[in-house]
Order: sequence, then C-alpha cells, then structure tokens
Amino acid sequence: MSEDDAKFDVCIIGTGLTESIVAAALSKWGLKVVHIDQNAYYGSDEAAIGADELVEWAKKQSTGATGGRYSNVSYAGNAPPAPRSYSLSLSPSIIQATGPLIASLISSGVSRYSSFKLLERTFIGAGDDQFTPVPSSKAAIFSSSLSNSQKRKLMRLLLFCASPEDLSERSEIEGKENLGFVEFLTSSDGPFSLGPEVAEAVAFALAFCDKIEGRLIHIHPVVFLMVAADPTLPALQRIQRYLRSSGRYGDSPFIIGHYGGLGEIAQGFCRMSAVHGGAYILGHNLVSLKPPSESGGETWKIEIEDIPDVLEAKIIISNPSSLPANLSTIPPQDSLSSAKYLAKCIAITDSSPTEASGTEAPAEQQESTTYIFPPREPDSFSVSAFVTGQHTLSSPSTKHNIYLQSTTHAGSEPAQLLGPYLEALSPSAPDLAVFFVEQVGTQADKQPLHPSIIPIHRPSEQRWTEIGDALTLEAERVFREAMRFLKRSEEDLSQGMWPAVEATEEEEEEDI
Amino acid sequence: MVSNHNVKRTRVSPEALEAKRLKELSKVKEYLALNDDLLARKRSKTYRKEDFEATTRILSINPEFYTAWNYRREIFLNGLFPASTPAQIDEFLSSDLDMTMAQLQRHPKVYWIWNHRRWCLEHVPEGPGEDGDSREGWRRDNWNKEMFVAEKMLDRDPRNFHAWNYRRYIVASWPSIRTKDDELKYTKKKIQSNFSNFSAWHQRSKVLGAMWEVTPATRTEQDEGMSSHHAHSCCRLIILKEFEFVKSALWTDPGDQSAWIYHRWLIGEGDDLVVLQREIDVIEELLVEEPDSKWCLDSLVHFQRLLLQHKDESSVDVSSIQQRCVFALTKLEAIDPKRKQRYQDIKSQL
Amino acid sequence: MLNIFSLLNKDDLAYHLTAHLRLNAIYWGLTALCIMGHQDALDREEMIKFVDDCWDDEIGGYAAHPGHDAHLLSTLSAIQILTTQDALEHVKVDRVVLFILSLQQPDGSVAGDQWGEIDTRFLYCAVQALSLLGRLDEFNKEKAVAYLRRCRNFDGGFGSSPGGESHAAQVFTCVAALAILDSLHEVDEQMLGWWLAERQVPNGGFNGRPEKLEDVCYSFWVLSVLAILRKMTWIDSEKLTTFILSAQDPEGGGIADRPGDMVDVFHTHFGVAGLSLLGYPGLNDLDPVYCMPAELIKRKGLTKAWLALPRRDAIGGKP
Repeated sequence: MSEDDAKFDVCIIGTGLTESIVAAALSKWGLKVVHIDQNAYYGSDEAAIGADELVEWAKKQSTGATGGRYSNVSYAGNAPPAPRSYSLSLSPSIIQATGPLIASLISSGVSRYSSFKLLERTFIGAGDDQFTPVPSSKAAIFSSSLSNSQKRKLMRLLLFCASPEDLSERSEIEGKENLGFVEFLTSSDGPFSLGPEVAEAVAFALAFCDKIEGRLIHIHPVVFLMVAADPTLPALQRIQRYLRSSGRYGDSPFIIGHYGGLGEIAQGFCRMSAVHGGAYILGHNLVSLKPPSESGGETWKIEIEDIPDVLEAKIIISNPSSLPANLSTIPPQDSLSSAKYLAKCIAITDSSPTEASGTEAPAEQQESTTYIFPPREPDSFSVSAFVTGQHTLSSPSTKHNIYLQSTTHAGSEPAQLLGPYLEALSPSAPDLAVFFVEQVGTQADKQPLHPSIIPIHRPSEQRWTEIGDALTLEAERVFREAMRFLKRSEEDLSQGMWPAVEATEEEEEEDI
Repeated sequence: MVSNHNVKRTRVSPEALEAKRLKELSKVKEYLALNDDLLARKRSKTYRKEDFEATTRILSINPEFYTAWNYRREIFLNGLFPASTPAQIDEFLSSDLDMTMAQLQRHPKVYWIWNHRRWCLEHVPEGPGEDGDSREGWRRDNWNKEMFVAEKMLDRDPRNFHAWNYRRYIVASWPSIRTKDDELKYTKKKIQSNFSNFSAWHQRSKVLGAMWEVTPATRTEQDEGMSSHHAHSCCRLIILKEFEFVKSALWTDPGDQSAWIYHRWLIGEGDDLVVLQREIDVIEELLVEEPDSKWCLDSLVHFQRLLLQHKDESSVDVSSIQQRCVFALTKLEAIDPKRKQRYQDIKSQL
Repeated sequence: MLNIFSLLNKDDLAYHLTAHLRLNAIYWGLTALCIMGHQDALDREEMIKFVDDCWDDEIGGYAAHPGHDAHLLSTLSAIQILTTQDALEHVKVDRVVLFILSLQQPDGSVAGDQWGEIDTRFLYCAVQALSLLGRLDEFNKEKAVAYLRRCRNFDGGFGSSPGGESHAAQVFTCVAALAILDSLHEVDEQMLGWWLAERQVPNGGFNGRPEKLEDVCYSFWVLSVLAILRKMTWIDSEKLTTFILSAQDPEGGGIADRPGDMVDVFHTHFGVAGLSLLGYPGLNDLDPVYCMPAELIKRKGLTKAWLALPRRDAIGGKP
C-alpha cells in the first residue's frame, strides 16, 4: 500500500445497514472511504449468518464480549447439517414497500443486487394454537368471520387511514392523539366504535402496538379490558403508511429480503461502495485510533491488526460502542432506567407453523408469515413471530427459520418468556434455538468525545416493520453530517444521498 | 397506430423521430418481406410444412394478422392433416395450443388467438390420451389443459372477458370438466379475492340461475313428496346463504356497485314478498350506518317500487312506500347530481 | 386534398402491424371527418379504389386490406364507406348478400367468417350491412332477435354470446341491431338505462363495465344506446364533454382513450361521435344506430326513433 493509498476522507467502523448505506452514498459522491469490520462477515448487528456462525455468535455473546448490548444469551440444540445453507438474521425485518429503505435501494441502484418476496400473510394468535388471519384489506375483511356491522366499521377505519391527508389534522382525532389506541378504537362516542376483538387485531396486528394496560373502558356494558396502551396518533400513522405501501408490489404492504434480509442488503450497499472505490477490511480488529490533535496532524491515525500501514482519515463514522473506551463517554447511570430491552429468539425447525395451525396452504404460501400474539396480562407486551424459509432463500427446503421478539425488562429470561410461543409455532423440538436479550436505547446515547467522530445511533424503534426504515433515516442524517464536515456545499446536499444518474441505470429491477 | 389503449403520450423531438424511423426501417423491411412472402404462398395455395412455418414466423410478430391464422388452418386441413395419423394430428394441435398460450401471455385480449385455440380444440381427433383406452382421452386431456389456461389467464386479469367467455365455452362444451358446485366454488374464490370483480358475480348468477332452473324447487308439483320437499328446502338454504354472502359485501363496502347489481339479480322481480321486505330491512339497517350511500338509496327505491307490485297485500302501505321513495330520490338528486334527471323521471312515474 | 395515407407514416412498423384494421380505420377516419364537416379532406376516388382492392372475389366479401381474407367486420366497413361516398354501385350486392346470409347460424347467431367465430358484434355487422344494401328482408330476423334475447342479462345489458357479461360495446351492437330489426321491445329500458347511466365515473368519462376504468370509446358505446333509448339526459353531458375534450392532443390533434395518452383514429372517431350526440357546437349529426352521418341515413329512409341532445350553437351556448 503506497502512502497515498492509505489516506482516506472517511473511515467507517462496522458494516451494519446504517454504516453500509453511508459508505455507499459517500463513495458515490466521490469521497474516499475505508470501511472496516472486526467480523469476517458483513452486516454487524444486522448480519445474516449461517447456523454454525450463529452458534459461534451465541457462545461469544454469552462471554459478554460486546459491552452489554446482548445479555442472558443461551442456546439449545446444535447447528443442523449444511449450516451455511441458512441465512439467519440477527435483526429480522419486514420492509415497507414504500419508505426510506426501498427508496434508497432503488435510487442507489443496490436493488439490482437484492431480491425480495412479498410477505404473504399476518396471523393473530389467540392462544390454544389458534391463528386467525388479520383482516387488513377489503378482501380479507369481506371473507373474515366478523359481523357485518364490524366489517363496515373496520372498513371505515381503513378508509380513514388510507386518506392522503395528514392524520394529525383530522378532527376525528383532535384531542385524542395520546389516548390509548384500543380505547380510541372502541370508544362508543368515538368515530369508529369497533368491537373489542377487532380493535385488538387492529392495534396489535395492523398498527403493531405492543403494550397493554388493564383498565376499565366504556363500551356497552362497561368491561375490564386489556387495552393497547400505545398512543393513538402514531398507531394510526403506522397503519396509514402500511396501507399506502400495499399495491406497490402486490396486495401486501410488506416485502422481505432474500438471504436473510437486512444483512444481505447491507452487503449490497458495501458492494456499491466498493464499485465506487470504497476500500474494505473485514475480519481485523481495530488496534488503535488516534485523533488528529494527539497525532499532531490533520487526520486520524488508524492502526489495524495485521495491517502494517497506518491508515489516515479526516473523519470517523461509528457506533459509539464500537469505539475504543477512551473515545466515548460512559452513559450516566440514571439513563439506564430509560433503556429498552427486547427478548429475542432465533430458531431453526422442521415443522411449519401453518401446519401447526391446521391451515392448508400451498407450499409457496407457507413461507413468509408473521404471527402476532397480543399480550394477555397487565403491563406485558405482545410477542411477534416471523417465519421464513426456502422461499426467501434463507433455509434448505425442509426447514424453517422462526424469529420471535417481545419488549421486556432488563433481567428477564428470554428462553422462559419466548419458549411457549416457539412451541406453539413449532410443536417438534427445534434443531437450534438461540435466546437473548438485546438492549436498545441508552447504549446508543453514549456520546463520543471528539468532534470529528460522527456517531451512529441505534434507533430505539425496534418494530420489524420499522427497523429497516429507521436505520436508513439514521444513515441519511449521518451522511449529511459527514458531507457538512467535509465542507460539501448545501447545493450538493440538496440532491439527497444519491446523486442523479442516467435513468436507464436506475430502473427498478426488484425480483418480486 | 390504429388503436391505442393506455399508451402514454410523449413529446418527441424531430431528431428523435428521425432516429426512431431509421431504427425501425430495417424492422419494417423485414416484416414486409415476411408479409409479402406469406400472402404469395397463400395465393399459390400451397399447403406444405414450409408454408406452415411461414405462418408461425409472421404470427409470432403479429398475432392479429387474421389472414395468416386462416391460412394456417387451411394448411392443417389441406396439407398436414390428410398426411398424418390421428396421433400426429393430436401432436400438431397440442403444439399449436402451446404456441398460442405463449402468445396469450403477451396479448391476452387478441380475439384471433382465442379463436384459433377454439378451432384447434374442436379438431382434436378421437384417441386414447395419456391414461388408457378411452376414445375421448386426447380430447379430455386438451380440454383439461384449456381449463387450466383459461384460469391462469383469469389469475392474471380476473376481468378479462375473453378468458371468462372461453371458460364458459369450455364448461358448456365439456360439461364433465366442472360440476355446478365446482363452478360455485370457483366464482366464490374469485369474489373473495376481490369483490369488485363483477365478472365473477355475473358468472355466479349464471351458474345459480342454471341450477335453479333445473332443480325441482321450481317445479315441485311434478315431483313426489319427500324428495321434492327436500330439494326445495335445500334450495331455500342455498338462496339464504347467498343473501348472507352478498350482504357481507354490501356492508364491507357499500360504495362498490358489483355486489349491489348482484343483489338486484338475487331478488329478481321481487315475487317473494317476504324476501323482498327482509332485504329492504337489510338496506335500511345499512342506511342508518351510511346515510349518504348512493347505492343504498338507489336500491331502496328499486326494491320499494317492486314492493308496490304487491299493493293488494295488507302489509304493503302504498302511500308510505311512495313517500319513502320520494325522500330517497330527493336525496339522490343531491348526492348524485350527474344522474339527477333519472331520479326525477322515476319520481314522476311514482 | 390529401391522399388517404399521407397522414400515416409507412416507415412506422405499427402501421404495417395494423394492416388487418385498415378498412375499419378508413371508415373511422371518414366518418369523423363527415361529422366535423370535412368529408372532402380525403381523396374520394382513391378511397373507393382502395375499397375495391379489398374485395375478396373467392369468398365474396371485403377484406381489411388487399390480399387479406374477407371478413364481416371489414365488409361492413366497406359498405359504410361506399354508402358515405355514394358509391354503392361498386358493390357486387348479390354476392355480398350471399356471403352475409351464409354466416347466419341455425340458432340465429352470426359468424364473422367461414371459420365460425360467433359474437353479437357480427350479428350487428350483418344486420347493418344488409340494411344499408336494402336486403334485410332476406335475413332471418326472428331467429336473430331470439338469439339476442338469449344474450341479454338481468342487468339489462348484453354479452357477446349467451352467458357473456354485459359490456357497453356489446350492448351497443345488440341494441342497435334490435333497433334496425324494429325489436326494441326486447330491451328492458329502465334496467338498461340505469346500468348505462352508472357507467359514468366521477371524472365524467364512461367505463364499459362496472368497476373498470373509463375510456373515450365508451362515450360512444354508452351514449349511442342512451340516444336510442331516448335517455341521454340520464347522464352529466357537460362533464362527459369536458372529459372527451381533455383526452385531445392539443399539439398534434386527435383524441386518445384517456387524457395524456397517445391518440389514434379509433378513439378520435368515437370521441367525435360522442361529442356529436352531446350536441357539441359546429358538428354534424351522427346517427347512433348506424354510427354514420345522420343526414345520409335519413336520405336512405332508415332513420329510427332515437333522440340525441340538441345541437348547441356556440361553446357553452344554448340551442
């Protein structure tokens, strides 16, 4: 490596989705980017990895190697044969058919490296292994077992949400923006007065609310109900976004990335960065990171294990927790109280959940299904399940990947919490099941000490339907900050992340 | 172009036009050569394999060239068939069905392609087919395949009336392919996946209409005790379920006219006073939820006018019905001003 | 005067790919010009010569293009063109009548040619062509009417064959045929009038079937039947006029299926035909039964009891 080859504008640490989008965008703008990751695979916390790699990952996390982001990690079973024919996502996601991530995929041209499938169906789990399809469209409502009056009311709600207007301006929700969503939906003097069961399906399986409270609500007669405690306006806005997304690629508002989703997509952005001159160093640890003042020059000096040259970069872009300890502050103790925790499970099974539920569906539809289990006790949270398999090219033909997720508290036992749901979805014992608790929120608030470090914050929004877009929005923010730091003009910035190129190159070519 | 549908108009510069012209010149030359060659062959009335291939070439570019389809069939009838065994004829026709299937993918609404398939099907010879000794084997295999094709086309565009017509033609020509129950299930499936699909409602009305015409329910007198009574109550049950089915659509989306039109068919002339009054109640119930629904109001007027035919019955209060019609019509004039004159005309006829 | 083909670009592949519609296209263009008062814009002799060249002497009918096979669709176009040009002496009437009569089937339906495709469009072609030639009496009218009755649906509309879904274009062919056959009593006027009026969508245009997209050509299919039923007031004529006009190409001329799309002679003809029935100022009257200049049909003594909107004398003006 010549001396000039070791000089970069930007050094990006970690190849998560946000980092990778930033790398691709900055490279496309002609900036010199070096992108490093201690893992031998792309994707960092969003990676899609093989079954054996997942076992390794679980072992490593259980030793507490990553500074507390993952805790209570356990696994049962072993990697099945042909472990590399699995693409298991550390951050499973469902992508909205219109939204920042899809927009970035298309306008960057990375969509050419990716392929997708529509999410077929969403079921709501009612306990006793019973699954009911969620009435999320006119056709589904028509065919549902709801009463005619409930059908009409639910349609009215969907039409209300489908309106192109800004929902926060609508008189129907004035003063009720923060009302618990189920209470808003069921209120007999409200605009929709849905029955409690429909309201629950809407709140948990359409709006992906996740928290309930037990309280008295006034429907006839007055009853004690568990109601979704999530506020009304954002819940309605989520439904609005989902409805707007349906029809773009098919009936479903959601699509799923092949080969494990976000990890594969992150790799696509890295590939785009490399095409535009980005340099990649994977599987090497960062030895030291010396800031400009300390090293006496204008640039950061970056030492990497087994690499003789010292790299230079004008700015560092990184998640604060990936930085050496001397470069970031320890979060104040009291901020931990605002931390959010997720219990998660990644499992490989033989039987498909639709078999378990007794629904007969053609093989191609048995894939790509989500299940929502509304919470049943006060102050508990809903559990979401997401099943993929061969049709997202993420498992061999006879196997399924099951992901489970629920909001929880710090000390919770994920295997105990999620185990019963895994059992409901997969009656036979799974080949492999990894359980862990992931901390989101405060960890990302750790602030770096130096002005020429641009921190990447992990979004606190962790819904599967939102995570990809949230990570993309963060990438846009970081990209702008980097461009400003590097003194690029506002005129450049007004063009957005992806400089315009000839239309022919940018045609939509998703294979859906 | 003689007929464009849904082709966006774009502003084209003279330079771009010239470039396009030059680019197309060679294509035009090539096409005209094929065209002239084909018409010359047809004039010379030769019916050889090579003539057949000439029709294949030009039809793959232009499936609307009906004269080429005609010539192709003339070649079959005058050249290829007389020199072939039944098995070879079956082979020829099967491969034509495959070729036109590929064309339908690109041109789902070209009459000539559908028409050619029909001709092919009707010329499949008697013969064993895949599963043994039946004389209808080849035919059965081909008709089965046709059904699959028609339904595939309806999966892609559930309103394609060519495909619906073709499907009806298959069922009529080869009745064993689908029982009436199969047909009901099929239309139900189509309606459930999108009940704006009036084509499916229409087909359902035809299937049920045909069933009720031949079920004993309409001619109970001729039949004997138990069986006719049983059939009668079966039929009533089916009708009742049908009303429930359409009602669910009306409530889900009262703005979708498909279900309303079907509802009108289901009630028909309104001879059954009980049914008529019950359905009027259903609409009035919905009207409470949706007071400004045009279809609710228009249907209410329609059915109440049918009710007036029963004016001799004690339960029918003529002046109250007329009043309610006038109220609904006045409201319709306001919410549907496009068709105001129609509402006024009906009002004056009351 | 223009050569009939000078406006069409023979370097365009599309021109050659549509040769099978050439005679129909000439009829559309000629009729639209007549309605706009410019019948002379196309060279009469040349046009008649072209029609003569389309004669298929083997079958005894007209093909859509010289060298192609005769078909009922192009035979009607040929007779319409020659009627409009007052040149029916070019027709070998006895042979054409024989050809048309040979296409009527035992059940009253009519095939498009000897290959046997059945469609109510062909029945209309046969009825109109025979009517224009003054030979309708040789046709089996009763059977034809009985067949049309079998194509009628409960919504008042008609399909392309028994069991077929009602479709505005098919409704036109069946009702216009019934009008020529003096059998309009077969039409459920209240039901059909309702079904037709409901074809108008919020932007003023018409669709051809429930819950489908609007298209300028349906302006004619629906309006013509409303005119035949004398119910043209049952729709919003101003909004429809605006819709048709908005589908024009303001620079190149012509009318498309929808605003912003490519224009063509088919939609231009049916758009102009619709505007004529709507009483649009400056146009000549169109006969909705024959879809030909009304004056011509009147001279031949064939006019039926239709009623279009009165001609307005200036844009936005009253009659």
